[in-house]
Formats: sequence, structure tokens, C-alpha cells
Amino acid sequence: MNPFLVLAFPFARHALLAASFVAVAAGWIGFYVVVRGTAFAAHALPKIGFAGASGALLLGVNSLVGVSLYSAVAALGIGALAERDRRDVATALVLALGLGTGALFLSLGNLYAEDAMSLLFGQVLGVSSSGVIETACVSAVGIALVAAFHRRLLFTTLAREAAAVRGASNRMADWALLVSLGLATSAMMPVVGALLSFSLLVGPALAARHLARRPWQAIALSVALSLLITWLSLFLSFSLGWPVGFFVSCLSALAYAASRGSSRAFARKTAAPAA
Amino acid sequence: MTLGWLGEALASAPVEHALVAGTEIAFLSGLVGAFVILRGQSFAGHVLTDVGTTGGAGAYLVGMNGWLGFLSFGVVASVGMELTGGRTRGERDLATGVVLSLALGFGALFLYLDAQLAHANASMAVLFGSLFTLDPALVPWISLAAAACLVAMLLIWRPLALASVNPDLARVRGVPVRAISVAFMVVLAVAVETDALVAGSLLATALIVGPAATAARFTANPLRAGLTGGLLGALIVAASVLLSYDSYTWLPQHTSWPVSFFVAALAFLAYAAAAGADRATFRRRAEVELR
Repeated sequence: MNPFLVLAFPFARHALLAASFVAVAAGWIGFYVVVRGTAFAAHALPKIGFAGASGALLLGVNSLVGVSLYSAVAALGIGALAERDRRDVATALVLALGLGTGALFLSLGNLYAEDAMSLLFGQVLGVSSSGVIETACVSAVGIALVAAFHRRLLFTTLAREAAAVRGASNRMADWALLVSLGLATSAMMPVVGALLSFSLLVGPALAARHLARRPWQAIALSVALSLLITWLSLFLSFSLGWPVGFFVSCLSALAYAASRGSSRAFARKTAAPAA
Repeated sequence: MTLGWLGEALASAPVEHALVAGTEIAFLSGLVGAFVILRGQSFAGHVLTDVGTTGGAGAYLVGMNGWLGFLSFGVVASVGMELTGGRTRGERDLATGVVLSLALGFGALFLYLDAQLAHANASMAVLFGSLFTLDPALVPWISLAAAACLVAMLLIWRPLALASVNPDLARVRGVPVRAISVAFMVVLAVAVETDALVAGSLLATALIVGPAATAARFTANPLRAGLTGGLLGALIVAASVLLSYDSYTWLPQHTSWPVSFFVAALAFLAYAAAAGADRATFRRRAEVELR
């Protein structure tokens, strides 16, 4: 089907709108994920959100509530455990517990494979107009949270000792990032699904980091790339019928590879005259 | 009465197969997990489960045995990750992340195609495990793989321990650090991908990290941590299999609760208990030192 003709249908416009909000949030928050190197948490929280969504399905409440609640609790749990043990261990343990309960919810709710699949891989065509508004609100809150902590997030990462001396708390910044990750997750769940929101969080931001020099430049570039990737993926998915997440992950990897290659070529060109 | 259902459970062939294969592989996972904790490779271990998803889904797609799909993808990915490793941990995690996201993307596509071709249950089996429907013909192969990994671990134990704690010193002493790391990653891949049969690819992490992290709260000695973690893991899986068998009667609607839920919950409980106990002893020790 011609992807542009599809836009005449309301479901496609809803999908496009929701995906755009999600893309902005993912590109923005992903920047901090990349700078702070918290890829594992960015991968774990969406998966935990999946468990929350299956719990919401079991209880019959709004899945957005389930995902937000579950991933926020998990974010706080990871933050609290990470103070006592190594961070990757804490993340892995919370992730396993979250997914275990998710498996239980799915089997107790007698949910079929299709339900699990749509949670894991997204069901973008099922987004309603109220869903679009919910997605927009959750994305906005997530962005507002990281934007409020922008200076602290960068300060505590790039100059940890100086930040500690100045009394800027790394813990608060950490929790702010984790919670906004959880929020972004719940916005992304219906669009790209739990497994592949990670691609959208990390791919564009990584690509932007290789091309930009200043934080705001990197954020803008990351948001732009993420929007581009999302729109392209949606159109490809409309026309081919394959899952959106597949295209998102392929295009993200492609963007990363291209930016890495170009920045390396650029570095060689600038290094050559100096030599 | 308890012995009654236990005896009934033990007499059933699927439960027996699940117990044999599950405890063997859980022991190996705990042993390997001690080094995963020591080397800070929880993320890599987790990534292997997701790569395994892609392999398992792809295997169902072409009608191959699921375990072989898990294994082949896992081993290739583990060697690839080890050889392309970055300099710092954050950097390594991000590079791993890109590979992971690509693998997940293809996994999504394969599972989608599986569902299209009416293997809807295949995707659930890949993601959440299906220990009770384990092919009996696979059990000896799983035992063989576990035994081979155990022997490999014992062979590389001392150099691996040295290379994990102090790679520079190991290099000076003439230990082939890179080869040892690659060998370890292959063993890890086999353990992780077989765990995926027990607990599903989403939950294999619980068996690698949970028991080993619990053991690591008590001892810094890798041998002791490995053995404790292995025994704890085997215990957790055995208990999970039996609980899952028994849970059929727990709720009026008669659904047996998934094995993977019990594995994750018990692993987390064990860790939480250990962390609590550890903190209590730590406080006591600190008080003694202050005096």
C-alpha cells in the first residue's frame, strides 16, 4: 500500500503523532543514557515495563498506569540496590524479578501469545486519540525531568569529584534519569514495544555523540535523528507490514555505523595536515 | 500428604527430565556466574539471552531444534563481543548495546514471522521457556554440554581467576588472557542458552546472576563462590520445578504457574536474604574494628 495514502486514515495519523512524541523523548533522554553509559538500565526498564503492562492486562486497568508504576518502582529499586552492590548486578536482579512476575501475570491472565507479542514488539496501529494525548503527556514529563536535572546530570558525570565537592548529589541525578527512563518506556511501549524501545533510546544518541561537540548540539541532533528513524520505520512498516521495531533497530544501527565511519574519516582528514 | 504429591511429581517423566536437565545446568550457571560477577559481565550475560531469542526464533522459523538455534547464535555473539570489546566498561556496554538492539530487531522480525506461520506457541516457548515440554532426546545432550563446560571451567580455572582479578599480572606471568576470555565467553554462552530452555530467554539472567551474586555476598574466593552459587542455583531450579508442578492446584482456575516465575522470585529472595545477613555481619565487624 502507498504509505502516504495510509495517512488518510485516523489510526495512521494517531500512530504517526504518538511515534513522534515518543521519538523526541527517546532522543532527548537517550543523550543522558549515552553520556552516563547506563545502557543496561535503559535496556532493563522497558522489559520491566512489559511486566507491568501484562499485570495491568490481568487486572484490567489502563496499561499505561501499569507500565509507569512498575517501571518507576523498578527504577527506584535499581537505584537503592545499586548503593549496596555493583550496579550491573543490581540491574540484572531487578530485571529478572520484574520479568518473572511478568511471566506469572501472563500465565495467570491466560493471555495469549498475541497479547505478549503486542506488548513486546508494539502495536502502533492500536493507538487511540486519547492514547496519543497520554503518550504526549508522559513523554513531556519525562523530558521535563531530565531537562530540570540537565546541569547536574552532566556535572556529576563529567567531573565527579568536583561535583561531590560542590555538593551536587549524584544520587538525585541518577534517580531522576532512571525515573524519566521509566516514563519514556511507558510512552514507547505501545509504539515500538518493550524490547526495541532500547534501540530508539541508544541508537540516535550514540550516532549524535560522534557528530556533535556540545551537549545541546548533541541533544538536538539526537532528537532529529530519532524522529527521522521513527518516521522512516513507520512508513516502511505501513508498506511492508513487518514490525516497526525491526526497522527502528536496523535504522538505528545504520545511523550509528554511518556516524562512526564519517567521524573517523573526518578525524583522519583533520589529522593529516597537522602531521 | 506432602510426600504424596512429591512422589507423584517425581514419578512423572516430564518432571524428572526437567529436574535432571534443570539442576545440571543451574549448577553450571552458578559456577560460571561467579566469574560473571567478578568480571562485571552481567550485561554481556544478559545480552546473550536476547541474542539467543533471535537464534531460537530463527530456529523455529526454519524448523530446526530450538536449543541449537539458541546455542549457535549465542556462541557466535559471545566470541564477537569478546573480540570487539572496548576500553572502558561504559564504552563496552554501549557498543554491546548497538549489537544487542540489532539482534533484538531481527528477533522481533523472526518472532513476527513465526506467529504469521502459525507457530504462535513457539514465540512463548522461546521467551518464557518450556521446561515441562522438553524433548527427552535432548536431555543427554544437555548433560553432555554441561559436563563439557564443567571440564573446560576446571581446566581454565586458575588462569581465568588470575586474568579476571589482575589481567596485567596475568599477562606478565604468560597467561594467554585473550584466549582464556574467549573460552570463558563460550562456556558462558552455552550456560546462558541452555538456561533459556529452563527459564526462557527473558529470564536466563536470573540463573546466571542471582545465585552467584548471593554467593558473592559471603565469600570473595571464586572457587567457594562458584560452588555455593552452583548448589544454590540447582536448589532454586529443583524447588521451582516442584512448586510449579504443585501450583496447579493453588488457584481455582487451575493454571500452573510458570517455572520461570519461581526461578526469578527464589533467586531474588535468596539475594535479598543474603544482603540482609551480610549487612548485619558487616555492622558487627565494623563495630569490633572501631573498638
